[in-house]
Amino acid sequence: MSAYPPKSLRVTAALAAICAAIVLAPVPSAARLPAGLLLALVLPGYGLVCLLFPGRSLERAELVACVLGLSLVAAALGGLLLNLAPGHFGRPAWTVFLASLTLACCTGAGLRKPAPPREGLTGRADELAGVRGTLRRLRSPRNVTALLLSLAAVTITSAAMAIAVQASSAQKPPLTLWLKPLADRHVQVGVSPGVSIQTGLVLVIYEKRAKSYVPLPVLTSAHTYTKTLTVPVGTAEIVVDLEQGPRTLRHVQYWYSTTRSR
Amino acid sequence: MTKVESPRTADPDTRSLAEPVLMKTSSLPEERLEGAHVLARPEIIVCCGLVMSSGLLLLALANNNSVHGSSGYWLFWAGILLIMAPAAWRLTAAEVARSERIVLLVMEGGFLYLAKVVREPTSFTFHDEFVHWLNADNALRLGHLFAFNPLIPATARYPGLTDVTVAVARLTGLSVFSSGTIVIGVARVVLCLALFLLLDRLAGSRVAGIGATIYFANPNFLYWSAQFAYESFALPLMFFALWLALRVSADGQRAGWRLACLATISAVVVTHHVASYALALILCGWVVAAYLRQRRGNPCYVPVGLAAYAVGAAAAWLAFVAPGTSGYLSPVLLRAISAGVTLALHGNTSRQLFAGGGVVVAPKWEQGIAFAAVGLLLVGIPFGLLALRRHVQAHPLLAPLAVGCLLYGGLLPLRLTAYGQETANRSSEYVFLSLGLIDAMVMAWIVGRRPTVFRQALCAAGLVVVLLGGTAVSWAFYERLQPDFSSAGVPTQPTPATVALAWWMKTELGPGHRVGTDSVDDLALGSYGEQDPIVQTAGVPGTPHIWRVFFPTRVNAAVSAEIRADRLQYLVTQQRLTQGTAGSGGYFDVAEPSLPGDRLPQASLTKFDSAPGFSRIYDSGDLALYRIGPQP
Repeated sequence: MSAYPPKSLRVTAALAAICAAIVLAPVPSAARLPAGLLLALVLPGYGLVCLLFPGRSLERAELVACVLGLSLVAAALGGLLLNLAPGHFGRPAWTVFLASLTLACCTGAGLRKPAPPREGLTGRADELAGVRGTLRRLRSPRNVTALLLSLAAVTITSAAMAIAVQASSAQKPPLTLWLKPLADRHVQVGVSPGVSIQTGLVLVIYEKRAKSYVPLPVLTSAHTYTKTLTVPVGTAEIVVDLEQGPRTLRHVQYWYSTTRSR
Repeated sequence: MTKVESPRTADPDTRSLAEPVLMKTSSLPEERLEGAHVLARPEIIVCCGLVMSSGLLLLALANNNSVHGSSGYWLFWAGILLIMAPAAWRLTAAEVARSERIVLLVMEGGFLYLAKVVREPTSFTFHDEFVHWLNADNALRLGHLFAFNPLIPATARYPGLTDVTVAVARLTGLSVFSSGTIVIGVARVVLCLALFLLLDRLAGSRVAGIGATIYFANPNFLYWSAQFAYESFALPLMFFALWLALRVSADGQRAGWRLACLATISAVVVTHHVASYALALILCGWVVAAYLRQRRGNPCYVPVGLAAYAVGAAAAWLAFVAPGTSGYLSPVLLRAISAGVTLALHGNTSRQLFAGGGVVVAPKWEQGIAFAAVGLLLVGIPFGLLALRRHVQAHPLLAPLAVGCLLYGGLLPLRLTAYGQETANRSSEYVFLSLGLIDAMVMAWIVGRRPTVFRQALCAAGLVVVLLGGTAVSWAFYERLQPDFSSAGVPTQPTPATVALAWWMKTELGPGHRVGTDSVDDLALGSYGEQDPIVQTAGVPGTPHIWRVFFPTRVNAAVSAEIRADRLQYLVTQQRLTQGTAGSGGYFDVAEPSLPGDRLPQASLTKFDSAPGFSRIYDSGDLALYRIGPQP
């Protein structure tokens, strides 16, 4: 006969409190990530399972479906509640809501009279013993082979993801020339080099029949070149070309009028 | 509630075609867990996992090839085959443990989700993903829900997915992209489990395994249902709610199941319109079938309360929170009905199958396997329905599911029409639930009690054909892999250059400018750029027609009038539009007229360079941004 409330309830409540503390504390993201995922996607559902289906175990697939499904339901509906409190849609609000829900469910489940275990089903407290038994069985040679094959599958999956990420990073924005109007008769000209290192670039600036050349330094992907120009008084057009040798690569132009308000 | 018959009264493998559909009223596992007497074989599960992960590797290589300009076509199909075939083989076998079927199914569903992730693992690329990214970003930035979404306004009124994504993003510190990918991944696991458990309650574990695999063959499963969008999140919850309703019917004295079911129905209602209506319809169909059964003297559970709640909640949400939904959905449905009527009365087909932009693009073998898949699915329907009709003890829920099955056949001709195609395609996520169950019953019967290798191979091959056919129908083959943006062609998704422009506009010009652009680039500008792209949106009165600005080859009075009417501040031109014919959404909007030669002239986009009052302030090659300023 197992104790009541079962150990899993106490473990869940403690986990909810610990995860909430980690999420709210200034800890590295590596610690916050698992705590946050547990608190958002697992613990509320498990708490609800304990409250709604007390004193008996669900079959394993049902348990997983209920834990994940009810966690999603709790967050989907919880957001509507939080939305009613203006300005309280931040991390503390979500943390307090989800942790409180889990703790309340665990408390409620602990206070309820346990239903007698049904024939053929084990109590939730016995699940931990079941897990220990499973771990023991995993040490058999047949299962060690299965574990090694699983490891290979995980490695291949990781390799696939790495290739996909690398392929994705090959898609970079191209060389860009832009011209941004500023206040007080100023415009800013900028060059973003895009994916590759750019050399030999020259800005050719046309202002009221005047033409000037501005050679650019070597631009790497992390380096954006900017230059601020002052436009003459009057109504005219400023044109900037980006050239590389004889080729005009990019072209921008701006109509300005310093006699009228813009 | 009456216990009608225990499945254990007969050996599950000796049943006739009609027998798997027994009304299961007990929740005791020994009565219910068909296949529980067989031990799971972890070495087979792991081997299947190894093959599936190899399939994923091939898909990643296919994408890598495609991004770098070479073909990844056959690698893609080999990868898909490796993911689908192992599960198809094992799930059609008779002596497979129930737990093994569940694990295989979750693995197959999971790897098919990863197939979408490896297509672009660092950012969203599909149309609706940008829309929902904006919803989540709005909630994070503004601290509340229901902020206006210029891309698809109706989506902002269904915040279920936004809530969960924001919760994960807030608690973990991850980006919206990472949080959304995790949330949809978890929802995919729920879908696989809920689908299996639902079908298992209706027809046993073998039929459930095969039926769920047939569901995976719906043309939207590979990409559409895996994207970061509200429907991808609502569908798993819908299946979960149906399974919970079945548990209520089997174990109705416990309030827990009822409460869980009501909460899940509520979550579906606040997440997606069509899913909530489909759920309400299925529950109403169940009520009607159960009443009819009661009138024949067979007492059974009637889910009146659940159905009434589903209908009431969906109607209340539509009336008080999301009244714009009817205006958003009705044009699509009305166009589909009109196209269907025209097709029925006059036989007019306005669309060529397997064609994109008026050109046949799908290879012959893809067309063949797609037809074979549809043929197999259709052939199974009458046999499955006959079995249902002959069995007096069929679960009442099977009645609305049978209707769904007929709907599949009824909607198929709409694929021959331009306006009905979308409705026919989008309905597949719902009707394949019925189709999976009915066809799986037939397949399980074919395999029979003592399956020979030949019979099992026949069924597994049929299942693979159905799965591959669904993939062939899903997306045009040139869109299945990540495109090479350095090669020419009309973009089907925002390019890196557009994304860079969107971020530039947000940081340098600020948010909220009215921008005129094409129907693809507006996604990045409206989401990442936080601009207000002027798009043709169904359901919004006075919708502008931005093509009137871009189609003329000179800046004439009509162009200026449309710019003034739309209060445009900026224009974005995409030179790639001139490199091919428009997709189904048109160059700028679906209502635009066709152009001579179906090509956009170069002058339509370059005309702004020489027109006074247009300042070309941003140039990244194919993409240019024009500021509509004071006339000089």
